[in-house]
Amino acid sequence: MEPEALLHVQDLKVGVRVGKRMKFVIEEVSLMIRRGEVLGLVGESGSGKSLICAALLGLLPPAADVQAGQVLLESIDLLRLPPKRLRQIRGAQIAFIPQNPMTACNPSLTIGQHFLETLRAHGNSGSKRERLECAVAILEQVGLPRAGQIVGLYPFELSGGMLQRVLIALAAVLQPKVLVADEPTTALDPDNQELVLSCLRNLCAEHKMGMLLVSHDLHLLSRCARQTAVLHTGRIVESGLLCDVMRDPQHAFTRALVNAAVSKV
Amino acid sequence: MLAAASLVTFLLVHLVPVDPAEAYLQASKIPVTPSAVAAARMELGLDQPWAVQFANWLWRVLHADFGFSYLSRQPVWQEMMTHMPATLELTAAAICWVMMLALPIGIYTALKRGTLADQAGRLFAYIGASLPSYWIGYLLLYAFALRWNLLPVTGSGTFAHLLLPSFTLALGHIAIVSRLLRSTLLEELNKPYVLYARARGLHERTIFWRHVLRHALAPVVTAIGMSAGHLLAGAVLVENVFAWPGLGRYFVTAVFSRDYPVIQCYVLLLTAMFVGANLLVDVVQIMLNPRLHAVKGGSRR
Amino acid sequence: MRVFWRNLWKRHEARVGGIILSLVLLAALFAPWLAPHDPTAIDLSLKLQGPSWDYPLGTDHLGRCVLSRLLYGAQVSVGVAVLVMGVTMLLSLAIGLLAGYAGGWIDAVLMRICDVLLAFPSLVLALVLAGLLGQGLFNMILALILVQWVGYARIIRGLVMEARQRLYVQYARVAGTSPLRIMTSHLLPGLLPQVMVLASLDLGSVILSMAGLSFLGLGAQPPTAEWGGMISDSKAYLLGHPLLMAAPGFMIVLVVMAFNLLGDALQDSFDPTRQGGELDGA
Repeated sequence: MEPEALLHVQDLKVGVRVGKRMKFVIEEVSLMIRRGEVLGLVGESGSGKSLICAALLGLLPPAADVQAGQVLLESIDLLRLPPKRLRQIRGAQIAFIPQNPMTACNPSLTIGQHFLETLRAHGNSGSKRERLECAVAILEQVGLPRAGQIVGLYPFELSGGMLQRVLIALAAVLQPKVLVADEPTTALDPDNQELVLSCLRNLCAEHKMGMLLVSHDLHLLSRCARQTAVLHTGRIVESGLLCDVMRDPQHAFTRALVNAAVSKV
Repeated sequence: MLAAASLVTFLLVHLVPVDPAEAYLQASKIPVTPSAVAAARMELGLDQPWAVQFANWLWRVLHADFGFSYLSRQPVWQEMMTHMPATLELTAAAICWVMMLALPIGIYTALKRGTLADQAGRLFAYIGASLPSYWIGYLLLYAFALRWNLLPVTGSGTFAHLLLPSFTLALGHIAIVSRLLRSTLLEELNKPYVLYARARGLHERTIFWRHVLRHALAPVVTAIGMSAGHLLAGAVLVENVFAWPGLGRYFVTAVFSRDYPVIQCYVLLLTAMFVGANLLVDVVQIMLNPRLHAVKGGSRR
Repeated sequence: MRVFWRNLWKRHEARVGGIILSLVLLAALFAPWLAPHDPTAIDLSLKLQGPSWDYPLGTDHLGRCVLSRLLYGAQVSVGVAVLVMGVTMLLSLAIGLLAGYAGGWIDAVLMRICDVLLAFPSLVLALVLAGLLGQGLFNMILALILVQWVGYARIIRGLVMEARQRLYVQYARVAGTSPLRIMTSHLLPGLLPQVMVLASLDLGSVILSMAGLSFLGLGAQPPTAEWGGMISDSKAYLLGHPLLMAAPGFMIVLVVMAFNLLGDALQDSFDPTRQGGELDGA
C-alpha cells in the first residue's frame, strides 16, 4: 500500500504585482509528496520553481501573493496559519536547502553558531554543549569528516560542496517532515553534485522524510527522485513516475527536456 | 604618509608670498625695517638653504619641538597640549551624540520605511546636511541659553557647558550617519542570507539584531570614524561660536596673526589625528568582520 | 536627452531643488533692480531697525538694509561657489585625464600628490591656505580650488582608466588618433555626466565651506554683502535682534539644500539602478 500524503499542494495560484495589475505566474499547481519519497520538480529558469518553494515556506517576496489554493502539511494548511505559527513550523517541520550555500550563510557567524541559533529558535532547551553535540552528530551523519572542527569554522572557510552538505545537515538537524531543496547542486562542480545528491537521498530514506527537489536538469533528478512533475510557464504540464515520464514524454516541452537529459549521458 | 604630510606642512609656510621673518616681526609688534628683517632671518635660521631648514625643522618636530609662538613667545607644543583636552572632549561628546541619535533614527526609519516617520527622517537628513554649524550653534545658543536660560552661554568646564557645542558639532553628522544606516539596513534586508535565516524559522528579532544590524554597521563604523576627523576640523568653527578654549580657537587666532609655528604644529597634529582615526576604523572593521582576521594577510576591503 | 529631462522632472527632489535654485539665481541676477536699497549704504541713525515697509527685513548694526544685502549676497555666495566648482572641475578633469590616460610615472607622481593632500582634513587646509595667503575673496577662492581638486581628480582618473579599456577607445588608438584628440573627443563626453553629478552634489558643501571661511573673517571682506559674513556681523546682536542672524543662515540652508536635492536627483536619473534619492555616504 502506498503511504499517505505528507505534503499536499492543491491548486496553488500565485500572482505578482506589476505596476497596478496582477500577473499570475503560478497557476493551479498541485503536487503531492509521500513519506520517504522524493518528488523532482523540473522546469526551465523563470518557470516559477523558486516561487513555488517560497510559497511553500510562506516566504514570497513582498510583490508576490498567493491568490488561491492550499498547502497541506499532513492536515494543516500552511497558507492559513498566522505568521507566528508558521515560523515555528519553518525549519522544524519543513526545512529549506538553498541554491547557493555561500550567499545563504551569514558570513560573520560560524557553522556552530548557525546550528545553535536554529536549534534555539525552535525551543531546544538543552545546554549549549548539548546542542553543539547534536550539530556534530548530524554533520557526521551527512558524511563530513572532522565534524568537530567544522563547527568552529566560518562559512567562507569551507568549499561550496562541503558547505552545501553542512546546510543539508542544518536542515535535517530538527528532523523535519519535509525538505525543500531549490537547485541544491547548481552552484557545485560535478563531483560535489554527486556527493550532495547521495547525501540527500540517504537522509530521506533514513529518516523517512519527504523531499521536494527542484532542478532544471531531468538527468540529475533521475538519480534521486522517483516521482516527477514538469513545470512550464507556471503550470504543471506533466507528472507521474519519473521513469515513465523519461520513457514516454507526453508534452512537447517534456520531450525537449528528456532529449537534453539523454544527450548528456 | 606622515613624513610626506610634514613636508607639505613645511612647504606650506615657505611657498606663501609673505616672508616668515616679516610675519614674525609683525606678530611680535616689532617695526618692520630692513635691518630688523635681516636679524629675524638670522634668528629663525631662514638664511640657510631650504633643505637644511627642513632637516632641522623635521629633527626638532620629531622631538615634539615646534619652536616658540611668535605671538606669546611660549613653546608651541606646550600651548597645544593645554588646548588639546578641550577639543578632544568636544569631539568625543559629539561622537556620543552621533551614536546616541543616529543609530536609533537609522534603525527606526529603516523598519518603518515609507511611513510618515521615514519621510520626516529624510527631511531631517536633508536639512541637517545643509546646516552651517556655526549658524545653528548661534540659534541654539539664542534659544536655550539666552531665551530660556536653561544652559550656560559660553565657556567650558561643566557638563552643561558641553551640551550645546557638542550637539551643534554633531548635528550634520547625525543626519548623514542615520541616513547611511537606513540605506545599508535596507540593502542588507534584501540579501539571501536573510531569506535563508527566515527559512530556518528564526525569530524576526534575531534576524534583525543579530544578522542584519551587524552587517549594516560596518559601513557606518567607517563613516563615524571618518567623521571623527571631520569633527576635529569642524570644531574650528564651533569653538569660535561658543568660546570653547580648544585647539580650533587657538589655531584661528594663529592664522590671523600669521603665527607660523603654531599653524604648522596644528596642521601636523590634526593630520596625525585624522590618519589615526582612519587606522582605528580599519582595526574596528577587522574586529567586526571575521573574514578579515580569519584569513591572514588578506587584502583590505 | 528629452527623456532625461522628463525623468529628472518626475522626481520631486529635482522639482523642489530646481525651483528654489532658479528663484535664488534670478534674485542674484536681478539684485540691482529688486533690492530696495544700496546694500552698502550706511546710515547709523537707522541702525538695528525692525522690519518695516521701507526695510522689509529691517536693518543691521550699521543701518544697512538686510533684504538688499541678502539679495546682493546671493551673487557672492552662489556665484563664487559656482565659479570655484567650475575651475576646480576643469583642473581636475585636466589632471584626471592626464593621469588616467598617460598612466606610468605621470600617474604615479600625480596620485602620490593626491594621497598626501587627501591626508589633510580639507576644511583645515583651506583655512590655513586662506589664512596664509591673506584675507580676501580672491585668496579664499584660490584656497578652495587648491584644496578641492584632489578628490575629483582621483575619481576622474578612475573613470578614465575604466573608459580607456572600452573598445571604441582602443579602436581609436589603433587607428592612430592623437592622444589629445582621444581625450577630448572620446573620453571627455563620457565623463561629463558623472562630472556634472559630482559637481552638483558638492556645490552645497562648497557654499558651506565658503560661508564658514567668511564667517571666520577670511573670505569676502566688509563692506561686501556675503551671507557668512552677515552671520558673523550679527553675532553681537543675537539677543536683541535674532532676525539678523536667522535670515542669512536660512538662505544658506535653503540654497545648500536645493543643491543637494538636485544633485541626488541628477545622480538617480543618470543611474537608474539607484532608487529614491538617499543621502548615503559622507
